[in-house]
Amino acid sequence: MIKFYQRRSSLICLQTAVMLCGISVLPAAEKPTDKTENSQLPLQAVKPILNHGPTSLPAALPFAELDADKAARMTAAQEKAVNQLTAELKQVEAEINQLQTELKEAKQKIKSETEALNTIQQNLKESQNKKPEDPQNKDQADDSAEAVKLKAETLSRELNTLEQQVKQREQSLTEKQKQQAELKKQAAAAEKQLTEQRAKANQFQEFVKLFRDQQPTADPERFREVAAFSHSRPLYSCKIDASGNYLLAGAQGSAFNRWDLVSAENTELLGHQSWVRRFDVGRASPLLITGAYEGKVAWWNLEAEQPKPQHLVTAHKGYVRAVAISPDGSLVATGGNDCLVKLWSVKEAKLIRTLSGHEHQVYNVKFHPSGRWLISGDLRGNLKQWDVETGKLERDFDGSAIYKYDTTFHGHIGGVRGMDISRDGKYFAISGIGGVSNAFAGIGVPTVILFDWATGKRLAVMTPDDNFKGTCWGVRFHPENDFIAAVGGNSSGMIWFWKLGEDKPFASEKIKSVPYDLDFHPDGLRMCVACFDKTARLYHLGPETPAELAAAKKTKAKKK
Amino acid sequence: MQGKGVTMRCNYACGSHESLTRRSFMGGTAAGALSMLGFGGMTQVQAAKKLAAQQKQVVVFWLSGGVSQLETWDPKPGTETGGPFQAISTSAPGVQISELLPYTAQQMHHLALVRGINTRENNHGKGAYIMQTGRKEQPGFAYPYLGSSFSSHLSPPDSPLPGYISVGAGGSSKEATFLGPRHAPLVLSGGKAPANLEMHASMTTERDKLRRSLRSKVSQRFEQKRKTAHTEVYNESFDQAAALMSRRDIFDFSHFSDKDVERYGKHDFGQHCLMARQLIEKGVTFVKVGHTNYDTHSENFNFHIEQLGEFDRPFAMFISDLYDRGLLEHTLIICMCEFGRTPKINSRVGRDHWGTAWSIAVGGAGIKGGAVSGKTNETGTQVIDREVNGGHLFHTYYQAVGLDSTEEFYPNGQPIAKADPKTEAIKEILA
Repeated sequence: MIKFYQRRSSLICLQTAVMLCGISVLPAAEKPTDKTENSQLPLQAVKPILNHGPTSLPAALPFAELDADKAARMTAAQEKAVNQLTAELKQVEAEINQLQTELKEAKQKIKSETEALNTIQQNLKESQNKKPEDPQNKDQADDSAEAVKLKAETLSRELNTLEQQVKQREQSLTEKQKQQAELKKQAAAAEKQLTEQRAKANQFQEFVKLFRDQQPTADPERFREVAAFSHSRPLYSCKIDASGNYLLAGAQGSAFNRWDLVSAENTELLGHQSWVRRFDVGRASPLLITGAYEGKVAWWNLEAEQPKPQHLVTAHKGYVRAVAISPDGSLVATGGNDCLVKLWSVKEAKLIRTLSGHEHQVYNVKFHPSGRWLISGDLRGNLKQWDVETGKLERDFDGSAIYKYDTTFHGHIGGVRGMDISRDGKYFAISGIGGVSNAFAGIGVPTVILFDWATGKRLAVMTPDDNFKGTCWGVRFHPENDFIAAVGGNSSGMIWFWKLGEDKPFASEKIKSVPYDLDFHPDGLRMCVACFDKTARLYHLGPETPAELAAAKKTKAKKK
Repeated sequence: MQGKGVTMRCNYACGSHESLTRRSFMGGTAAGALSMLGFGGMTQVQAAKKLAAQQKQVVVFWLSGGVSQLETWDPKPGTETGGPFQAISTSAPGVQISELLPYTAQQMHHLALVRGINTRENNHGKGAYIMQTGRKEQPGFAYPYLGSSFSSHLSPPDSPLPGYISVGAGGSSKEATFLGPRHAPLVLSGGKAPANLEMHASMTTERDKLRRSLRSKVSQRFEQKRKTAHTEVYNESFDQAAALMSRRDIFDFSHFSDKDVERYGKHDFGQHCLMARQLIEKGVTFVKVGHTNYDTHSENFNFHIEQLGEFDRPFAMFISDLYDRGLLEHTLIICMCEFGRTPKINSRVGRDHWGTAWSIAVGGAGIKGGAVSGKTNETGTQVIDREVNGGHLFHTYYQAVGLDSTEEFYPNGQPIAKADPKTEAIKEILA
């Protein structure tokens, strides 16, 4: 598994290398200035934001190949399991046949011996009735009767033994038949699973073929659900790890979920006492750090068969609401209801620095891709930029458009519910609820605010293009800045897609339940959401496989 | 003038303040007619103790909108409905409440919990009516509210003080119903003292006396021919206004120490609790303090952190201060609202209205501190032991302050049970 992770990690490095190479071969003037660039390059505000077309995603192919390999290996293992079960079933069937034959023979023998015994006993009875008067004949008759009696007794004993054997065999037969039924059930289930896995493996293989023919791009117009993962509680946070192996999700409960994206197998991570609203994963190692509402932060090895907390640290008084791992993996930042931001060493789980300045609960933290800066946002939409090295407050940004004090209900509503920084470090976005008309019913406008990192200026306030009301719980830049995606809802759920800098979405999708969080797969083609209906969903934005197209055509025809 | 008031009340609120008070008030009302005068020279504690020996008082904390029982008195940590908070131990052995009430937890030995309330009502107005009258709304008849009832039963008849004051909790003159306007709430709007308590600068005491005498004579002459309830209301309003002006000191809220302000908080609710403490110390019978708002259909947990974060400390300080001043054993404290909130967490991370299985806290006079009545199931969706409703609660309140809850009012000669006769007091929480 570790080896597999390393392979995945090298894939990410490859992805980065491809990106960097792309930048290095282009003359500066021809560079698409709004595209992803090395985060170490000097920061520069880019205005106006160029509305570039969809970006080719070269990393999609190796990710698809890895998925296909994994699916193929799983299919092979499943085939083996099916074969094993089939062999076991055959063996049991043979044993049943053998038992049935033996039983038949034994029963026949019992029948014949019973008849023989009856005859002997009848003869014996008759001879006793005709006792000779001659003493010599009488003696002979007695001897003969004695011999017959002995024979009858022997036969009777044999019969008893035979009957016991029959009973035992019947018992064995019942057990074997039960075993057979169980094995049949298992074999059928395994066979079904194999069929599904083959279909999945074929699909992955089709993606590989598709991406080999042409580098794919992400297009929200092709948005479709490709997988769903169920839990026992509403899901509250989600991410896909850097290796692309797992969909991870916190819930409105203490159990944290790790789903294998290919096999859909779930592992529950236990250690927290409350909800996990925020967590982060290492970019180059199988590290997972979760923060929970009981105030604790936990370190996990993502690749362990059954991960246990490696460290469990009381980090904040009240909720831990924010967790972010630095790009180099050496630091983790947390934020909480105690209005503090804290920096911890990842290696030792030791507090390095406390950043004070927020006057309200800290809802989100995020490292700038350069690793030099940290940004934090609070309940009132106040955003602070910190120098990671010195802990100095560098700048404040105003995100108060997603905050309101409701004088009717006497409550503060809003805050930085979602936050992201583009991979090139040029933009950052926050999300929440604006224009609130009723705080306690959550009636307001789902809102994303886009900022220019260099100038700190607000570039756009992005809202739905209809009258939809609710909270925008999460926001993410597409890895290539092709668009910004955000999720939210009130009693129903939505996903919106905006071009950078545009106020209204160019695409939006109503989904099955209210999503509280989202993330992009590192391939840039897939995205996941964590939903109120206890389900995490995986969506695809890439080109459809022939099988998908055929299925869609069939569905369309059926509808007609 | 005040004696006249008693006689007049009898005419339309028969059952009479006077007779009921005399018959049913079991807490030493012989001294009830004594004025608050004569406390001069005493220390605050001495004065409070003297007052306590004379009179039972009641304070209601009204958590408007419906506080969540799961985030307060009946936590279910770790369950599907329990939310993100933990339960904490309290000063009452074996009693746990939500971690959102750490200060209140330290006062639980003064409080009892009723965890088995089922009012079968999820409407704000109707729920509020049940909890403040002990009955379901009935067309054509209005029961008096708790504040008006206790003002009627417990206030000394000749007291110049209003019997029912509402601080930051609103209120309507309709609450008094047949008990008459004297027992309607005096609403301190915005937590401020009533306006114009001082005599106008242009008016001398002598001129004021003459003016009142003239008004009284004209009024008496008018009443000889056309006496109505309205004329009584007018007369009483003048009397009450004069009494209020004479005791305007109770509304002087400018002398709280910095330490008190620090302990209670500078926010409105903290200030309102301090005001309530003063009103109780000064002898007001019934004080209702409001805290708003808990109608958390969206983001229930964030809003409860915010609202209870404000509520917890001043509420606990209030109980602690009343105890320290010897007032708690004579003051019934009720912390309630119109209903609880749904165990199911909705898609807005909120909780909706829930009258089926919820809780309140009571304490002080006549209450067994640390007692718990009723039980809900593991997820809080049903009462599984000792189900009670507004009627049971009313019997309990009455008996806690030494009143006979089985007695009746007689408005217009009709007997009206003070508390629902189909229910009885929750004996296990009575001291």
